[in-house]
Amino acid sequence: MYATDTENEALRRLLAINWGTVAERGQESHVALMREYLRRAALWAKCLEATDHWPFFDVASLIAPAVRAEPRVVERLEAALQPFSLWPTIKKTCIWYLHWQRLEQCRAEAVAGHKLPEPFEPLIRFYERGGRFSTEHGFINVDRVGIPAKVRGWQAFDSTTPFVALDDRALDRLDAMVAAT
Amino acid sequence: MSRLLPRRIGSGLSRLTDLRPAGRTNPVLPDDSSRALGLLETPSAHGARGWDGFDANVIVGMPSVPGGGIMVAWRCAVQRAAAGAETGRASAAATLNGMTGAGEGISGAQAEALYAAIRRMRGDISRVAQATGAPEDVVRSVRQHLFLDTHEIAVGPNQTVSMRFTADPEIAELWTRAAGRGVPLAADEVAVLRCVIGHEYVERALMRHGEYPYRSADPRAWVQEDGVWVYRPTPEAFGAHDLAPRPGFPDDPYGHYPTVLGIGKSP
Repeated sequence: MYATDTENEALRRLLAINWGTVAERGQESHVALMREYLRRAALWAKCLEATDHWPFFDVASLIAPAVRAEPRVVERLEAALQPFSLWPTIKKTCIWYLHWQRLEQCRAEAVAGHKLPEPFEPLIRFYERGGRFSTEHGFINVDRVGIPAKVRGWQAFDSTTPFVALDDRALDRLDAMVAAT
Repeated sequence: MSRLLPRRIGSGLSRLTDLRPAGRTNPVLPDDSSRALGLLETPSAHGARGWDGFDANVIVGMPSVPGGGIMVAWRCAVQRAAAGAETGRASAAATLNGMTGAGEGISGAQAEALYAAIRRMRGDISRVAQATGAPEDVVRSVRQHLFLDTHEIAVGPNQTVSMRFTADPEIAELWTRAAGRGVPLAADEVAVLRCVIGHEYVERALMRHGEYPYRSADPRAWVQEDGVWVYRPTPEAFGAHDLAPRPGFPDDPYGHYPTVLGIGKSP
């Protein structure tokens, strides 16, 4: 088994993140990215009849359980993240992102057939911009902000309208706009 | 009017409110208050109660920072107030299956099943205490809070639901493995569980003895964004969760006090 180009690129992105620091700035874009992830995850969970697994789940395993990221790639990521006391879900979603990337390259038709947006991209952008989160009693804590997730249910996020664009300019603009008010 | 720092949380904390200038709705913790409170309660004073060998700063992930003495005093007072108040005990042992360690997702139903199994466990308090280095009375209090108590949970403006906490897959897994079922926790996972215990312990004490809600149902703490209610605590409306140390910021667990809650700001 060998790592695909997309797996290697995904690993490179994850290893480039400075996991040792938590950005206190960029609150608004962090919240927006998390909500966009929750929206996409709700769409996938509904489509795959896996709403009990929402909001954080291994999407690729529900589409093609046999397609997994190359173990050495996963091991490299786990070793890199091990020194950091990150909320366990963060580490899991990074691994699930690797599985997703392999699935996208190896079984593109199985992914495209669902006609849904890439599930993990908002979360990876969230991490890249210094965002961290924890889950607690059905809420998702993004620093001071609490997003009622499980306590509200996936239906609250079941929307085909994106919450936010994922490019840095749009996200920076959002942070600047809120900072100015 | 917002709630002030807890009044029934113990003698040390009642003194905190005395530091508040008349007419202010939020407490002000002047720089020298830590020294004053440090005289009231110190970790060493609790040696005979099992505080020995337990670094209060570590469990909440809090390094020695300016103002840290306040929180040490607070935690000590909280612990004293909460001590002896626990009555709930699990009565039956349970065997957990299928716990294979990190890397796998747990569904909502599986998390609820794990919470139910934890409620039936015997001996988990001492095992979790041993695995994390937290005192048993702290773990007992957190166990009661997380798995047994019913809470009024704000889910929107003026909307509360009376229920046990929704099972959290990560907390379910961390607790279960710390209790000896499944793969033992790795060092980074122990660190995370210690932060959880610190957060939940203070949160519970504030709810029980400070009469704080878990999160505020005050409409000023809720914003509807694209049809989704989001909880954004303010200096006027916050809850015990917001006052407890932030688990995600082990190097700065109280950094949100002045910036978000308006606590510690100069008048």
